[in-house]
Amino acid sequence: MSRFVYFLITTNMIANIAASLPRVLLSGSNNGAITSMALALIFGVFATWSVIRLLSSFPGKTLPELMETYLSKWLFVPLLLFFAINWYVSGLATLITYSDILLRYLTPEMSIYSIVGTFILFITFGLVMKGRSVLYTLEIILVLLVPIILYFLLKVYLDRQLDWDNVGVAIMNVNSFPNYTLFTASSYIFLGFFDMLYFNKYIKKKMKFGIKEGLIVGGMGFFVLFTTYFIPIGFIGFDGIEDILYPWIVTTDSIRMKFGVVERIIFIFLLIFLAIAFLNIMIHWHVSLKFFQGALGIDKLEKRKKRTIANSILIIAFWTVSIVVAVKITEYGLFKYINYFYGTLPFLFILLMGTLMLVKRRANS
Amino acid sequence: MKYRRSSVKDILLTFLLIGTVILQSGCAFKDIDKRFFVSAIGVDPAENIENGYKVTLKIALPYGAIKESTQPSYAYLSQEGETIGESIRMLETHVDKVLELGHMKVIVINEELLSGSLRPFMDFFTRRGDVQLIAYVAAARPSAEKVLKTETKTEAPASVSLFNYFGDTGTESPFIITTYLFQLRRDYYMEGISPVLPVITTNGDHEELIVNKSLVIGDENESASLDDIETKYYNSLFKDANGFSYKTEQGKMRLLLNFDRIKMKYKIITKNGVPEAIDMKVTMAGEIGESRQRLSLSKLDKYDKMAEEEIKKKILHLLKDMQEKKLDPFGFGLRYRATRLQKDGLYETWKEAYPELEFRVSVDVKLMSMGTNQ
Amino acid sequence: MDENTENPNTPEYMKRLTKKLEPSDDIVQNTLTIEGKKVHLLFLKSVVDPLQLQSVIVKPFFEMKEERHYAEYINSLPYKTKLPSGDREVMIELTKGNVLVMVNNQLTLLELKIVANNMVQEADLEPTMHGPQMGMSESLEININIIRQRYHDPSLIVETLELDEQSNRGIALLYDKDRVRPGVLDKIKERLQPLDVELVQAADELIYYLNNKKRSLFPTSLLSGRPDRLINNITAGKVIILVDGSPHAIVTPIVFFDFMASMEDRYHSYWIMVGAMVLRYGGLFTCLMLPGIYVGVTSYNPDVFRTELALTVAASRIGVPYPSFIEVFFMLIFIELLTEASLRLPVTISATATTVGGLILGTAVVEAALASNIIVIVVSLVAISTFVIPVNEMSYAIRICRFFLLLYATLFGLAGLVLGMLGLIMFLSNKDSLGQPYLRMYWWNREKELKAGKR
Repeated sequence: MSRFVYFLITTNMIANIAASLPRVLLSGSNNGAITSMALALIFGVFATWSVIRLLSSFPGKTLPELMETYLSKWLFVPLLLFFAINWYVSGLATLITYSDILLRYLTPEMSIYSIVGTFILFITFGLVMKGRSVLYTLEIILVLLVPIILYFLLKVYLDRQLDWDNVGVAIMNVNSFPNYTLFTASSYIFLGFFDMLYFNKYIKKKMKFGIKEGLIVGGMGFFVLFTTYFIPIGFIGFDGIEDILYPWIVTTDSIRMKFGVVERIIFIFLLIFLAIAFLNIMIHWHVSLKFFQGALGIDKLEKRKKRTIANSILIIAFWTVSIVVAVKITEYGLFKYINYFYGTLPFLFILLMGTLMLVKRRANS
Repeated sequence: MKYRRSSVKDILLTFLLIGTVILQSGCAFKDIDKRFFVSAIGVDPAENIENGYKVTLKIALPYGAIKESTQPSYAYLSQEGETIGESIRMLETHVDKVLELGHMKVIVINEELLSGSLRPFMDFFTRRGDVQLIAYVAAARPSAEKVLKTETKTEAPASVSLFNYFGDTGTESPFIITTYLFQLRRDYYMEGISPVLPVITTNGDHEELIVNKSLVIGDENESASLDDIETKYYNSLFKDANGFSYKTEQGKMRLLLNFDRIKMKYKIITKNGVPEAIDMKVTMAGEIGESRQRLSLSKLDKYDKMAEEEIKKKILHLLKDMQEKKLDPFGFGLRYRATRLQKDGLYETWKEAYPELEFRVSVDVKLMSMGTNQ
Repeated sequence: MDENTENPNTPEYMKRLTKKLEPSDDIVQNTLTIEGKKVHLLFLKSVVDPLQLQSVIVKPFFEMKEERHYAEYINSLPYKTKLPSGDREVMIELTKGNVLVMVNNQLTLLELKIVANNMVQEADLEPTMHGPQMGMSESLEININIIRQRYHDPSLIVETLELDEQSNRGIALLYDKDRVRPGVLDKIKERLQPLDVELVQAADELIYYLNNKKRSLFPTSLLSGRPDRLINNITAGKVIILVDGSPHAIVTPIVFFDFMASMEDRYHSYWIMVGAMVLRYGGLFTCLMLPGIYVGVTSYNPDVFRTELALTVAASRIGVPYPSFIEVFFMLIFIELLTEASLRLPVTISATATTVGGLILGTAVVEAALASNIIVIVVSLVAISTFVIPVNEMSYAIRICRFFLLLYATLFGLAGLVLGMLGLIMFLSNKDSLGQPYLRMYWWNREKELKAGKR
């Protein structure tokens, strides 16, 4: 499998460590979190496997192209719009969560407009960028940041204050039934393959997804889920963790670097995760924009000028929606809507699988 | 043709970048010299307001030429209020610069406030994003204000000596317990472990700070104080503190033993699902640090035995004392929960059984050498 | 007009050319005659080597018995170049230092030019301690010779072109035909052909026209005067463009990382090279981000520092009347002025300028509490790390970028700084140099994996 596929999957996983996933998971810490995570792990690897397998028979083709070729218009437009909106919302959720985190921990006095504005400004550049460059950017930033992330994760795991007894208590809560929301939330981290539906266009190497690839994806997923769930418990404690809004940020604030230039690791963490989250939003929106373009037929427009105008309108719509939502939403609302959003995930997956299988059958016949 | 278009796009992009920047000029901008760094906060019960707090802030003042000044300079602010947050809000009107809590590394709380519910004032510290969760929390005797206002002789400029006591930053001693704010919160909310805080006292003329005692906080019960010896044992056995030394006496023999490796393992023995005993195994390895007589290498075993008996007695004393007071700073209950599958009433079973629990302690002392001479 | 064509009016042709070249003083139209033998010469004496003319053309003429022999002799000389058709082209050849010889009704162009500054100079653009010390000369032929002499492989192709501008400057494309990336050559020629400019004086200038954009910040072609670097790049499948009269060559297409490589890396042992690389990238990040970090930390998040450091910084800022970003901005501008000034001055004076500016003014500024000591340290650190970047053009670009990052840090704090940095990376990866992506990791075979596709 091309390493870019791993990069896409990894970014999505890492971006979710610090966002709303830990809160959702930890809010159900005595309500079947572990079993849900285990199920999600199996489901996630299966989903990645099935989509990549289906996609590998169409090298160099994007989902909009495939749907347009093989599906009738009344089927393909609403479906593609649904995917596009879903992916836009997933970027939006990350965007709002991170704006909130920044507002709370890094620059408490700054206005929400400024923060969302800066984000959007750079993301817009990412949207109009060539798809290939998006992949290059992704690679470079990951190469720069992943070593630092790994170093800090190692530091977290080896910290003396990490209380394994608390982790033990959490593990002992394994005997409860999985919960739908927790399951969908933790499956969400595997959804990096969704970006492949567009970036397939740039990958030359034939994709295959065998046991080795499955183990790598599953292993990464296991590590990320374990870290996301158990490490905060080790620092914040099993009882009383439900009250914490951003468990991972609080966790990083609990680690002290005795000899570092910066004593509080939280700042380094915030900035690194900011970069990863930014990447994730940029990629998701890039894909979403391409889907919108495909669904609305913008890339078919004859005149270049018309195309530019239509794209600008789309991007401005992206801006407006995100700013309005970011300003209006409350923390509780964010949590609630993100849960709803996670809830739609199985439908998204089923629809996607259905579409791909239909496309494949029509292509073969 | 091609490049004309892209240059137009470039210009547009540049304008976009600069335009947004100018529109949203930063309002959170505040220079470092317009801030006061609160280095420590002290909380005492209020004298005039019922159920109120008296908050004392210790502010480290930046000093023009650090190399030349010999004394650090501090400012102290005190204010009474019904809540801590309110007092700090009031204090903001007493000074000309912004009070910056990001560097507040020590939270000193009057001992009197530390029994019963800690929630009302702990909430303030954990809810604010800018208060470090790696701040050290300590109890103060006789009052937080006195502790904060003690300026020790050894204090260097541009550093706060209170910080150096904890977290092995400066001094390292098994008598000093370090409790971070997040740890206090964790242990406080967690059922099965009682938080322990170091106690800071000052000497008679307020020139030295002494940290060698500790306080076990009871949520439902009374808090209990540990004296220096108990603190040492607690710290060495449960917190992996280094530098445990032990004085043993037998007849004319007087030895000071230094242990550099201490290992403690324990197991909770249950019978029919009810915990009935704790098996504790302590291994200590070290060397002889001081002696009045000439020592003989061949007798090392004898010295081992001598120490074992006495150390065992001391440990049992500490464990039983806490058991009587229904406190569990060791986290036995937590371990019990961590090793049994979760079910309803699990912790209640433990709570009932704990006061009746039997402790079986075995100590294994191994002296490896006698220092540099016989 | 073909060289073997019989033309009864040959002297007429010579006369015509002479007339066209007049009233230049250095035009020489000469006819040598002895014992019925006759040879007509036409050349510009200022660009022709008289010694060679004497020994190659004049002397044999008087020694040979028959005109026929002499004609054969002239025809077999290695100096012979192709005779172009058309008067203008021939005249251009003459201005380059060719001699038009007509013997036995046969026209021949002989290249006997003299170039005044054909000395190989020291490579002063990118000096290194190890490796070759001499660079290139200002003559195209000698430069080609330098490269050919170090790259003995028949696959090395030298294509000479003539620019379509006022000075008819000769340029040469050098590449290894087995290694060069497909499509790159066509693109270069495509851009060189419609070159719509008055005059190109040097390689440095040509770069600007090669670059497809009118306004750009980052260089998309590398300028080098080191033969070893050129050879290195030829091996890597790149195209070298030599311009007559310029001791520097253009290397294209180029990626960001080429600007961070010094030739010296090749001459050191592995770990020394790794150490140098780490230092260099450290310098790159320092000079890009340090001013921004200073502003972001002191003015937005002083709690990032350790307490002791925060107190020191706060103490050093006591009495400084303006906000940190103005302080940084002024000091950066000051350092830029200093760098710029010491570049323009002769070496002997520039040391004084640096001392006066850097030492005396720096101390005075701190004494007068117009800037803090810490900022003086920060700015000097930034200035020094800029010089670690091995290629000059890149270091200019980075110097500009750092103001951009400073601006973002001023407005949005540390988050702004990080986002600005990401933006910079995005900008660079979106850029391309002749179709090759500008910033990318090149650690393993990319060609197989990604389609170098359109948008």
